[in-house]
Amino acid sequence: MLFENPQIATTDLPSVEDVNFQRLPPQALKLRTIGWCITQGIILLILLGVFLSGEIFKKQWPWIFIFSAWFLQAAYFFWMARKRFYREGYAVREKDIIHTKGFWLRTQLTVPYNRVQHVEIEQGPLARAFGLGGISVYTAGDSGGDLSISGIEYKEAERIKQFIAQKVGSDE
Amino acid sequence: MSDGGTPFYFQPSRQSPIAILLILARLIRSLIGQFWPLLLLLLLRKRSANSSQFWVWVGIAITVLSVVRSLVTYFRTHFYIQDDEFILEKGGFTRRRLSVPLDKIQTITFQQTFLHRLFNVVSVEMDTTGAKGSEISLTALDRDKATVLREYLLRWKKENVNATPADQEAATADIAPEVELLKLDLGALFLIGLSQNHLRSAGILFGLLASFAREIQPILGKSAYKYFEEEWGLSFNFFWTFALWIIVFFLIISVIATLALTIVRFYNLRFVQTGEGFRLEAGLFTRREQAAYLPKIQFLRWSSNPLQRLWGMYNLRFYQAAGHELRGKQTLQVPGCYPHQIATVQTAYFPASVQEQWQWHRPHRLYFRQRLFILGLLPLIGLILKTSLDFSWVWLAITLLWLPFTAWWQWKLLLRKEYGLSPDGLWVKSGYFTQSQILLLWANVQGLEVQQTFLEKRHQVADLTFYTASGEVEIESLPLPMVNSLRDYVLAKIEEPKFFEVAIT
Repeated sequence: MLFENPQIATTDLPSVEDVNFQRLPPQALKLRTIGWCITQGIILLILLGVFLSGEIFKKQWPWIFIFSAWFLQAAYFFWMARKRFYREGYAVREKDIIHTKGFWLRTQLTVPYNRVQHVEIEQGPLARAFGLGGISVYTAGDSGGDLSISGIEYKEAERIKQFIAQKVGSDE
Repeated sequence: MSDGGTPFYFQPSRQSPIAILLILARLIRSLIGQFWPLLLLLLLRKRSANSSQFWVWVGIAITVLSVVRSLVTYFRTHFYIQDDEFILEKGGFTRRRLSVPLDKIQTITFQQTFLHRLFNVVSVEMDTTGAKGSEISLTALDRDKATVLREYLLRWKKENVNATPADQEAATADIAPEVELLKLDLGALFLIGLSQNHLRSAGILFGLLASFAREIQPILGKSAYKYFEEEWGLSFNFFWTFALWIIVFFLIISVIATLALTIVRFYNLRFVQTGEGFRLEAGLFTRREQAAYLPKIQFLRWSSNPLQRLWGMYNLRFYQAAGHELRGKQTLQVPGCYPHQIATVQTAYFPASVQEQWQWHRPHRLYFRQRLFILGLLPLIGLILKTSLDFSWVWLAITLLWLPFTAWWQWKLLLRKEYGLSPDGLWVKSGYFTQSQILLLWANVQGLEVQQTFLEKRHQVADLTFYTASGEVEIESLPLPMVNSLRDYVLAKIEEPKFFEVAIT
C-alpha cells in the first residue's frame, strides 16, 4: 500500500490557497436576496404595525430614527449578503472537502473524508424552486467540526454526497 | 475466552435481584419528583376523614403499581453478547431490543450509590459512538460479574482493534498489570478543596451586595447609607465594615461548601493505570468508576492556579470521544496530580512527546491587541459613561485602573502563550493566573478550520482550530504561511500516518 495523494505527497506541501474554489451558483444569491426580503419585510411590517396602531411616543420624530435605523441595517445586510456570497466557496479534493466563507471573519474548514461519519443533503421549499440544496458533512463528536454548505445546485450536492460516500466506503 | 463453561454474558442473563429494589427506589423518587407539589398540598390541607381514606387508597394503588412495574422491568431485562454485539432486551409492555456492536462501545462506567454499596452491586453504563448513540445501562449487577464483563469487553476490543488501522498505536501496548498512580487521602482532598477559586465566589458575592445596596435605595427613598446612619444610628464606616464582614463570612461559607463538595466527589480517589488506559474511582456517597480507554482519549489538559502551583499540584482532564448526546459527560477529571503522574499519563497518551523535538512558537502581538481591544477598551467605554453619568470615587478608580490592569494581564497572557509543534502533535501552554497545558495528537483531529479576522488579514496572521471528537483546540495569531503549511501537514498526517515523514516547515 503506497501513499497516493499527489497533492500532498511532495515535501513542499501545496497550500490550500492554491486550490481553485468552486463558487456558489448565481441562483444562490437570488435565494439569499429573497430570504433577506422576507426577514426585512417582516421587521418592517411589525414596525409599521406598531407605528400605525399605538401611540408609543408623544411625538412623531422618534419614528424617523427608528425607520432610518431599520433602513441602515437592511442596507447593511443587503450589502453583506453580497460580500459574503462572493467570498464563499468550496473545493472537493481527492482526500478532503474544504468550505471557505465569511467577510469580517474569514474561515476555511477542511474535513478529511476518513473522518466523515455521515453526509446529509437537504432542500427547503424555496430552494427547491431554484433547484438548489445544501450538503452537511458530519464528523464524530463535536458539532464544530461539521461542514455544511447551503445554496449549491441540488444535483451537485448529490454528486458530492455520492463521491464522499464512495471515498468513505473505500477507506474501510 | 473465559474459565470453564460458557460465561454468563454469552447467554441471556438478568441483573442482580437488587435491581428490583433499585428500580423501585428510582421510580418512587421520580414520582415524588414530579408530584411533590401535589403531595405538599395534600399534607398541608385541612383533613376530613373521608377524603384521607381515599388518598390512602390512591397511595396503596400507586405503590402496588410501582412494585409490579419494577418486577416486570426486572424480569424482562436480559443482556448478552452474541455475534460480537452487546444485546440488551428491556421494556415492560413494549419490548425493546438494543444491540450495539462491541467495537462501538467507547467507555464502560461503573457507578455505586449508597444503596449499591450496601449490596455490593454496581450500575453499568456503556457509552457508544455514533450520532444516534443508544446508551446501554444496567441498574444493578454483581460487582464480580460486572468486572468480568468489563474485562471481556476490553479484551475483545483490544484483540479486534488490531484489524482497524485507525487505532494501531494503542493495540501495540501489552496488557500491563494495573498500577496505582494516585490515591488521595483526606489531607490532599483538603488542599484541593482549599485551592478552588474562592476569590471568584467572593467577588460575585461582593457584586451582589453592591447591587443590593443600590436596589434598596429607591425603596427607602434615600441613600441606603443615609438610612443606616439615620434610622439605625450606624455610621458610613460601620456599613462598610459590616459589608466586609459579610464578604469574609461568605468566603468562609464558600470554602467550607467547596471542601464538602470536593470530599463528596473525590473521596478515596484512586487513579489507576490499566493495560488499556486509565481508571478513576472516587466518591463518598455515590462511587463512580470511570475508565479512559487510551485510543478514545482525544486530548489531555492539565492546569494549576497559583495556590495549586504553590503545592505543586495539577488538575488533570482527559477529553474522551463521546456520542453527540453525551458530550461533556466524558471528560474525566483527576484533581491533585503531581508532575510525575502527569508525566506517566503524558507518556501513555503521546509517547513521543517526551523525547520529540518541539518547535515553540509565540502568537503575534496582534493576539494581545485584539484581546486588549475587546476586554480593555470596549468595557472602558462603558465605564467612562457610567462614571460620567453617575459619579462615584469607586467607579472612577475602577475606570482609571481598568486599562492598565487589562493591558498588564493580557501582556502576561501573551508572554505565557506558547504553541509547541512536533511531527506527531501539538502542545499548548497558556494562562497567567491559572496556567494550563494541552497535549493533542494530530491523529485525533477530525477537521481543521483556518480563521482570519479583518485585522489578522492585514497582518498576515491567522488562527487554526483543531476539532476533535471531544471538543476543540485552538492556536491563535500565527503567521499565515505557517498556519497553512501546518494545516496541510496535519491533513496529510491524518490521511496516512505511517507513510508520511516530513519536517514541519
